[in-house]
Amino acid sequence: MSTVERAAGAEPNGFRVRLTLRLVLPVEGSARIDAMRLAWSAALAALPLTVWLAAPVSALGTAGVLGLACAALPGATATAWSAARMYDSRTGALRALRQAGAEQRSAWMMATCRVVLFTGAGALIGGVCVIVFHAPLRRLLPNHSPLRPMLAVGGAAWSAALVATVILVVLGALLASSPAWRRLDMRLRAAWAALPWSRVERVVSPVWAALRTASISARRAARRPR
Amino acid sequence: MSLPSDNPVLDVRGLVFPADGSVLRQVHLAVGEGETVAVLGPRGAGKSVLRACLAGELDPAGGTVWTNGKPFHLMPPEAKRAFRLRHYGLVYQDTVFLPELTLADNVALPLRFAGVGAARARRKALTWLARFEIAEAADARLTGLPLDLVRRAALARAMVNDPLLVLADEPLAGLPSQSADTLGRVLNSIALSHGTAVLLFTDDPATAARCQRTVNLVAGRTSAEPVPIATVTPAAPVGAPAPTAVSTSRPSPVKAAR
Repeated sequence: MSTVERAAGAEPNGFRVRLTLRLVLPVEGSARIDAMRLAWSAALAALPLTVWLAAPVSALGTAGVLGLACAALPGATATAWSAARMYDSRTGALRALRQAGAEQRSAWMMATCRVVLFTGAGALIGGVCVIVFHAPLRRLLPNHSPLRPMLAVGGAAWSAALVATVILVVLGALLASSPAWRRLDMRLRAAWAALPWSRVERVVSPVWAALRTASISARRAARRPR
Repeated sequence: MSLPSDNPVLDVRGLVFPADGSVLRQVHLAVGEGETVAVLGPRGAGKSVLRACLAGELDPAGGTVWTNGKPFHLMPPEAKRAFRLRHYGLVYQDTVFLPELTLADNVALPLRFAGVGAARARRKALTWLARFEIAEAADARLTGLPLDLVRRAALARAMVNDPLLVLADEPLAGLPSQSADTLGRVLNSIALSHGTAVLLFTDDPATAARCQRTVNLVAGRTSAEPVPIATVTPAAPVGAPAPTAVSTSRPSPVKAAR
């Protein structure tokens, strides 16, 4: 009888939790940087999103919504980009777990825990910052600012908005680190490469690089003592 | 080494995948206890698909897969997974380990997922790492390890649960000839001493020559027709039982069974 046959046979929950905790914290330097970048991006994205979700409908004028959308753009882009960078580590962990015999669902959950944790923590920090600082910020804003009425909401609305923000940002990060997003990204890149502009770029880029190299060499030569 | 007995560890008949048979059609295989059999075929011949079908990761459209006298092809997915954890050792072409764990922890993972305790799983992992001569790397992290060590670790992970059957997809790929020889020898001796049936999928005739028998997979069909001599290096693994020159002179086990 083999070692496994003598064991209980079921995937133990305690082990799954301990393994998940070990997989959450990255050990490699580059993976750690990616995870921290994702957390900060999520915090940046959460700032306008929390305000938008907490604001009463009556306060959401066109100017206000446009302003919030513009404010959310850098954070959302950075979150999508940082999460997409974690695609390889996420799929790598999933494959390693599946190869070791983990059940499909638990392997998926363990592999996504890092993206969820760092995005969730970042979004939570961003949302809490808005909740803590919305009152002094409101006082600083001029009366005609479209943001001012958006910040005039109660504690319950802020709490609900915070929860919704964390969920939305985490879902967005999961989507951006998914194989579907990777496929979309590849298609977009292929479409970009097919554009006439990209052909111009292909010609201009090497010329630009050569000019820069020549300029740097010339500057170095000028600095060199004779 | 004799042909597989009437009751082989793995007995595959008429395997078809997918339904139109565009990848695999009429695959027949039988592997006996302690036997190492190479499935040799060019790239795109369907070796990885065959491995996935035999491991229960893909559902074949037709045919039967009997493992240790049990109808593996009839089992529901969850039962297949449990059966695989207990009786199969899998080596993947693109072996991936978790960089957050040490080598020993990675090798012990299949046992941990099967419910074996941490201390016992680690002891077992260390035993297998020692058998594959990489015990000194047990506590190493898995970043930047040499390929030879990764291949050995992959085999150790496949063997850690004392499987009846090991399905190894290109387990010696990319290794220098000397390392591949050594690892082939170790694999042969382990198969014999533990009675493990090893099915090795490869496109390299030299790797196939390290096994006791070869089954050719061409255009989704298995055949025991002779492999061209020019492409085969009939190097017998030292210390292992003398293989019969890639089994070219031997009838297919299925034909024998018939």
